[in-house]
Amino acid sequence: MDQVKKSIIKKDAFALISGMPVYTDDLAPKDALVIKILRSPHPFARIKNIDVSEALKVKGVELVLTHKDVPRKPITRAGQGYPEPSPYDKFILDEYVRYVGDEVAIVAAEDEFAAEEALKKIKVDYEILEPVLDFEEAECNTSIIHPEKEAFSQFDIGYMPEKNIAASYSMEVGDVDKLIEECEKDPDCVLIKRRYYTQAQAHVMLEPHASFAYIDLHGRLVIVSSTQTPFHVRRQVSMVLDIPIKSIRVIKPRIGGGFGGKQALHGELITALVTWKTKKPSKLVYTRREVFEATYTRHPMRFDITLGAKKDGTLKLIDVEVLSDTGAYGEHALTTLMVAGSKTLPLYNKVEGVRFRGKVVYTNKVPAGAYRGYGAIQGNFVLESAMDELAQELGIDPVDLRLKNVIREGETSPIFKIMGEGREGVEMIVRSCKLEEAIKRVVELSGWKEKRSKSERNGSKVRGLGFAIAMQGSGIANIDMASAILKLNDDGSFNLLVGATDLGTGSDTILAQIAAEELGVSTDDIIVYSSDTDLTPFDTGAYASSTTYVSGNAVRLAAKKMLKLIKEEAAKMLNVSPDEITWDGKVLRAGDKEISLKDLATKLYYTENQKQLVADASFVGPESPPPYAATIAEVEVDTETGKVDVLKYYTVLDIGTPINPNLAKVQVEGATMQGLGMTLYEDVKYSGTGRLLTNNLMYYKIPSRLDVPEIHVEFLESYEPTGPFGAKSVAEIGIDTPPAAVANAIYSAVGVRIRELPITPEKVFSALKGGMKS
Amino acid sequence: MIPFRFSYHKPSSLSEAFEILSEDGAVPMLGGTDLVVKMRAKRVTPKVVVDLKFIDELHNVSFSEDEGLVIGAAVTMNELIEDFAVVKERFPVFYQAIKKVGAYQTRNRATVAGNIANSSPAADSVPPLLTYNAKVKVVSADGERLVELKDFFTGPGRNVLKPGEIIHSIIVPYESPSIGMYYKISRIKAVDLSTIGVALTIIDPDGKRDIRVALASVAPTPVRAFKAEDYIRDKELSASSVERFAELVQESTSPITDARGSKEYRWEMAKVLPKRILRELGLFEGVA
Repeated sequence: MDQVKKSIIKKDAFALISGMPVYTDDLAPKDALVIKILRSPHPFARIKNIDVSEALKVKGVELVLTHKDVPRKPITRAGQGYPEPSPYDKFILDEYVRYVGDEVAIVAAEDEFAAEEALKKIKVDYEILEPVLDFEEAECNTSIIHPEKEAFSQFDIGYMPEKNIAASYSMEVGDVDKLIEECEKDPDCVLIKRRYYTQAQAHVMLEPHASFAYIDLHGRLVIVSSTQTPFHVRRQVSMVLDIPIKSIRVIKPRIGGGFGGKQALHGELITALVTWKTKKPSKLVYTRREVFEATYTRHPMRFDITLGAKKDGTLKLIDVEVLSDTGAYGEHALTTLMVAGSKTLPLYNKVEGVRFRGKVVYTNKVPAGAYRGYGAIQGNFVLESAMDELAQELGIDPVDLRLKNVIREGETSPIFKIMGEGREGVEMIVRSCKLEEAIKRVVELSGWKEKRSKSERNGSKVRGLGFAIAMQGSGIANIDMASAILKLNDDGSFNLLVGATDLGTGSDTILAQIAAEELGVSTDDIIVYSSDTDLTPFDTGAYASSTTYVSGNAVRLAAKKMLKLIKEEAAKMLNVSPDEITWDGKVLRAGDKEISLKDLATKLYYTENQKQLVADASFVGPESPPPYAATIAEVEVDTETGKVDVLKYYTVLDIGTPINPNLAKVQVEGATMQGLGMTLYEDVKYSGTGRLLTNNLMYYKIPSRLDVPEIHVEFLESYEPTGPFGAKSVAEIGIDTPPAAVANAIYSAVGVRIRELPITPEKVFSALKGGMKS
Repeated sequence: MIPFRFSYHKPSSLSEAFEILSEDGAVPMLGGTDLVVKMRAKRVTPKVVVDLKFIDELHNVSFSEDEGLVIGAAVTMNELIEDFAVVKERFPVFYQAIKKVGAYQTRNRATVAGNIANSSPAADSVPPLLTYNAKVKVVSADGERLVELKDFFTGPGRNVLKPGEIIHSIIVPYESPSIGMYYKISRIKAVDLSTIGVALTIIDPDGKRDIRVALASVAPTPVRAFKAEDYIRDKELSASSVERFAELVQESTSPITDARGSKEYRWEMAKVLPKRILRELGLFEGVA
């Protein structure tokens, strides 16, 4: 282990910090047509008439498109593997607009001024329809958001548009109603039923959504996009615009953050359409306001949870019912719902009964989509808050309650088989799980026992500690596929070509480390090129915590093959059998004969046994091994103002082998801050008429540098036998625990239980004072 | 980018500035920390932007006990508090409030005059200036006038400046030593507007002890709580008098609900914070 478990600096770090032009907008042709979108001012309306004649007269305007000018083909922009578990309910442009921000018309012009001017001159006559703004009133509302007959789902996802339901799901192990009934009667049993809410959350990646397109010398369409899923972009653009896949190339340059927000297609369909029609380069860079108003949020959810346990703390049953709000379009509707169960319920695998049901409804609001943590953070807040409430009822330390019930190495859960993502999952034995050890370690690190036993008060401020655990997955088992190609150069270095998408995470570096480790060379000798549909092999993309595990396994397999090829060629050169070859990373030897890799590579190119050594491999995860986290947050609550300060945050994780410990640590720190943002600050607010109020960074607040607590991240190493060098995923696990850990800490400090995120000072103040006068 | 065309000028004298400002659609700019943000969002679409920060005379800062502190309009907040120790020594509440404006980077460009001219009810530098009875020197091609800061604001984003008029300087009279506190509640610790801001200044704490209070983000303009000040003048700070004082501060507000907070919470905090500041200053013991 020489190249992995090593904190190598990200390969692109210097270019990024020195401000080299590496992002989409930096690379766009200077003469690209500038695209601007006219967006709906109404939450729900039908376009009766749209007149673009004046807009077309604006000097410099090249093209104006309305729903009459674009192919009427339903799609899902979700950016998932095909066939997607999301309804095909979106058109590039439609006669109906379904939220404030929905696309009405597309303008392409020589410059931004002309495009803006043209936007103002488009006359739209709307028939305003009654919007559905409250997701609890969406089902069977008289306003039907998707009446169009073309919309459909690829397979059964519980899609019922006539009821405003985008997806629905239910599953049950054991007879939960009967268990609840028994528990109610049993004096030795405690039952708690609670309702919780989680809010929408914006990704706030630094680089907004951006793409540009041009036609290459062969007449092919090239799309450069800040995307997490270049191959899905190629497939979807082909499908909707009826351009053969072979005529499209999608390239992802550096990305300034995605967090799931760039899993979907947003601008790509539009730049592709404009360039295909005009044969001129075009670009579309979203404004920050558009990122807020017209991309995605996290799915807001309502949960009703019932937990039943014996008085000794043995958990008997978990029953969860969810209502999820997907906004105007159903992207990721089913899967975020299912993940709220599938990535939480296996934590407590010894229950006698577990049930999970839910519906995902349409509303006339900003569509919800993928966001780091994807259902899991919502489900985790609820399950782990409820476990804390249960511990309180039982009079058991919340840590002891978890230790009594958590999943352990070598065990399984029926959930793994029943709940996949959008379909059935796979059976899985948990081969690596240091959750119990992580719990014990975080208890020790944080001083839980000593600090819980005495409450610390300083004037109006009271401190408290809260505990939560979490699990995630590593890619989507049996669905996500990744592949890699390695090519030997004449200096003995290697090109590594991967479809995997580094969105700032450092995956290019991590994949190079995996290749280097397997080949026995230095990571510096691996030149990575990623995410180009013409030049790199397929990868589903960067989502679902998949890259290290799924793409990493593909890279490792390719490296293994490459090493075998090298030894075979060396054996030929040295006239020995391949088994006799030994390899130290520089020189291949057999007895007293030797040849350096560089000499071998040069000979292969120019003089002897001439050939290019290339190795490739593909990988589909047969399982999705979960990483685990155990977290304790220490907070200080100001009882006079309701302000909550997170002082210290301890999190101990089992992510298998950390390939690059530093990059793994910053993933956890970043995820923690996004989780704390959702917990305490990030509040999406709408006006009464369905307009997003929090549409800029003045109104929508993510934590600032000064809001970062003392964060202690520790990895408790395990070895995942199915992972590359024992690795599991790390991208999402860190975001799951903050909401429950903080909510539980607040309860511990001041005895108020906030069941609705975000936990604003107002909610804490109001709960402390028993309400506020209005 | 700013999605419309405009011309940009940087006059080096006031007379030159007045001339350009007389053009149709001209607006003055100092640090640009409000204006540029609004322009990018198309909330303000001037045809002409007149940058005043290249006019030397707007960069003056002076202090004397008789004349008070005079702050030229173009002096940035960081220049003011880092280069002029007198601000922290003589006007501690003003000093504290400036440090709460935006982030350090914002204060590298932002000016107190701009904060006043923008006339946001949330302007952090304004409540302490109100407690120090600050005045605004306004100039135009037609001459100059002095406006009491308390009379300057007419509503959210509105003030008494007439077309062609600009702020020349802020004058903060010096009365005596003072103590106090600016307490800001915001959602995050930096780069955020106040949900509520309370400046409580005690002029001559060891002598006549004049307690003054002004608040941000609880009314259409920053407000000073004169009634509360009158009530507490010459009274012992007892549990009951402080309670009444805080109620009167609260009654001087008329908060609304917006993206940063609800009117109910602001109303409650308008009473909690004055008590809390008095306690933290060691002048009162009790819960807020």
